[in-house]
Amino acid sequence: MTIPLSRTQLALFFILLCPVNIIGLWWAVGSPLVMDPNSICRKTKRLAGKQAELCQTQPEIVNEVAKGAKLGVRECQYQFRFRRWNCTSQNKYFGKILQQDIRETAFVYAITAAGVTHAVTQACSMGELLQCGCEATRSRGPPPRLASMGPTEGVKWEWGGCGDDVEFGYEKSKQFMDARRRKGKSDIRTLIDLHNNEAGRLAVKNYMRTECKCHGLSGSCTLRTCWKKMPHFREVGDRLLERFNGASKVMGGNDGKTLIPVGQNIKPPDKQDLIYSAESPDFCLPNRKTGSLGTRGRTCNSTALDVSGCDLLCCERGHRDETVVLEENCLCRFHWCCVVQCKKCLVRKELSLCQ
Amino acid sequence: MAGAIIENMSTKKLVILGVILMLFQAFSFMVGGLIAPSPTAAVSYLATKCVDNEKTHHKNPKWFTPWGPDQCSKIKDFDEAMVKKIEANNIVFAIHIPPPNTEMSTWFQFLLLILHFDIAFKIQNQIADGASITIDVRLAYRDDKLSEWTQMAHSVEQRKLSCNFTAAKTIENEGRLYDCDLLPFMELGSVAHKYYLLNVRLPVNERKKVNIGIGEINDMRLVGIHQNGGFTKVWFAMKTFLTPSVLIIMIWYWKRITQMTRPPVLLEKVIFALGISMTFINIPVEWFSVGFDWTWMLLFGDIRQGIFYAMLLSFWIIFCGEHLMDQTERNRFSVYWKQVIPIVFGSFCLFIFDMCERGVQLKNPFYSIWASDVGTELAMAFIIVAGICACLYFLFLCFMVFQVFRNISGKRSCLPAMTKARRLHYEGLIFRFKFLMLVTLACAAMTVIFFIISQVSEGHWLWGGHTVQVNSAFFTGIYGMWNLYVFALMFLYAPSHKRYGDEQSSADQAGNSGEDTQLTTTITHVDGPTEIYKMTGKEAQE
Repeated sequence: MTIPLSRTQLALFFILLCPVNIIGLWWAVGSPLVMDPNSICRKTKRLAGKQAELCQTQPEIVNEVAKGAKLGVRECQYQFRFRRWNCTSQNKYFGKILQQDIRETAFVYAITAAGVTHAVTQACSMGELLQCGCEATRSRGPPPRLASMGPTEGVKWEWGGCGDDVEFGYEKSKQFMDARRRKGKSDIRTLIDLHNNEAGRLAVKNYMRTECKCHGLSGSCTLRTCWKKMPHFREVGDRLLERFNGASKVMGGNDGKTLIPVGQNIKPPDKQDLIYSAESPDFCLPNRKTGSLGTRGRTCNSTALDVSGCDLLCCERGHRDETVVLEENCLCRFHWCCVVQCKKCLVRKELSLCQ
Repeated sequence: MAGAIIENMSTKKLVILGVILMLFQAFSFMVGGLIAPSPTAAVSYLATKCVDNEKTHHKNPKWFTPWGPDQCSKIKDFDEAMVKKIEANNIVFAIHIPPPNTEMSTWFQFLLLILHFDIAFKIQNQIADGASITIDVRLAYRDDKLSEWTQMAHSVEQRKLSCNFTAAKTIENEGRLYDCDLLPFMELGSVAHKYYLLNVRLPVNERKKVNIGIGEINDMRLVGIHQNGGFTKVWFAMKTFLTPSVLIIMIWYWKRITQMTRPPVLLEKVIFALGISMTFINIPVEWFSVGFDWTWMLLFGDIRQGIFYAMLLSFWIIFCGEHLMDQTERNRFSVYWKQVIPIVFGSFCLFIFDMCERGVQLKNPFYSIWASDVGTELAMAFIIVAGICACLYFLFLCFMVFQVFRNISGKRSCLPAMTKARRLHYEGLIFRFKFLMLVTLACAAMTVIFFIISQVSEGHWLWGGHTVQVNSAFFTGIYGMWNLYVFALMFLYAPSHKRYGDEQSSADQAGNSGEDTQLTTTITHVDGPTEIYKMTGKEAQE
């Protein structure tokens, strides 16, 4: 259930995450580097002093929400790197995408909600969020007599352990991403956005992998312990891209509270499917109204026949070939992380660019 | 003549006893299923990447804490490390156990840590075949949040990477993770402190090829497994209740045996030894772990279990042998050495294996026998030999059971022609053997069924409004069952004071001296009256 939120918290959520005109500024204001908690908290100062207070009381969660949003956008850019619309977020056009109900909007909402779920869950595992605890535990608590001794959370932890962190990440993603919209009017756009947010969260939560370890007598399986492991975020992106490709078009029901699929003999979308209500533009030419940047100057693959091929990507406007000379790292001595000792080499590359 | 209690007990009493034992059995299952939490808890830890800018390694190492007031300077990911010109040797992975706002407890009994690396695929930085990762790890503890950390273990360990990349090795798939196996990392046999800290380095040495060719590591993940405190309390309570129960029946059983004027026969000794080993496993020595930091308690528990299982398996062999009614050699342990050797040898192999693993971990908690090739081969050898011994034992046992049943069917056809005393004797033997066979098969089947259920199920069922912890029910139920088994065994197979038929014909005795030789060595025969009978007879004379 949703925690009842005060008006100032609603305002903060509004400022932080809702992509209407004023929030579009936050989403599309510049490079992902701007999406850091200091900037978010600095922007809230224009409202009232209480927003600064919220940033002080729960700065860690705001921190992780920002990380999650950044993670989602970065994954979006990877998954759409060969498509006409490639999830470029460094301009105002990105905000236009978020104001529509096209497929691309659905994907961005879902991947962002998934990113927040993932980032908050990771932060719990690192011990960076003190709020993670035994509230959502599925283990049985100690008998009521014992529960009266000491703080409840410590007793629960000692008696039966705590639940998976993903439950906490899921709940926080829900609170931050859905809060204002749940309170607002239930128009079609709100229902669609809530649905897609949930689909993104479930793409993380429903695909936790169970891993087990046998550690009984002489290592036998008389004693075996299992736990849930979160999928790598690249897997989540792959899964949501599949949902994007198979997204369902919906329209509002007569009661104004439900969504029904458009078209005959189409099954209703389930919780994990992405939904949209408007058709996407072709993204061939720049169009400020639709948020399309166009594909002029994009690198394409002259031998491929899929969406990254020159014919499709360039909208059959043709392409030109260029040869560029680049300076690249070569003869590197790699370690398992961090600084790499390399030499510089000149490399000739053949590029195909859309006309 | 006298037999075991089971032969002279009326059907009504036997049924009543069975019902009582069944109720206790159901109760022991319900204690685990409804009261206790699951036996173990697993907590996922993601290591924080701390930066160590100190160039020198002091003798007193600095401890890097992932969170809290004195936390280290950290980086979020290694892209940040590249920007800051940080090298691999400056990275320290820091893990604080337990998570924030919680404390470790002595009720947790042990702490097992499993290691998993997130290694990203990079075309130019792939995992070499047969790659091994070198881990420089320190473990520290403290008992309140303001103390200094005290080092309790330091080791440089190697673990073999076993990673598989399922997608195509193309530039598009860079950044995806390898599928790596879990690695054993650490096992503590006691949890005596409230807070633990791990600092892990992956030192790079190009000349010695240390940590070269292990791919690009994104993250280090640990899973901490410990016994749940609630389960420990239920388990200790159960043991504390069972110890006097089995002890009392053991004392009663021994008094029954010593009341006989003859020395105890082999089967009686073996049943008594089984009671001793059950009591040994029951004694709640674990209570000391709550007050003392004894790291060998896990190993001690394994040894006690091993002794009990060896004793139980030996009992079954000897019980079968002593019920071979035509066997001329009996009542001597040496008759069974061929069957008992596989038990002893198999148990010994498992004991050696346990000593090589858990025994060494008493000194170095990061040791794993599976980490080296020689260790893996030795471990596999011990386990395989133990498995072969188990198969041999099973074959021997099946053969002996077959022999006994063949013997029984042969004797059954002769029963009508026998004298009353001899017929009652053989019927008693047959009934006694069949009863134990049925009960043993039922207990073994129950153990196997619950083992399979606990492997397959999620660990808990929703039943009405209640959550049933299947795994806990398995442990408490099966443990209670074997205790009831030993209890019933000692009660029902204690010597009885009742006599076979009232009349005995000396003429029959004279004509069957050959079979008398056999009868004198069985559990049912008395060389003379019991002490009570002697006193009673004496009074009658006076």
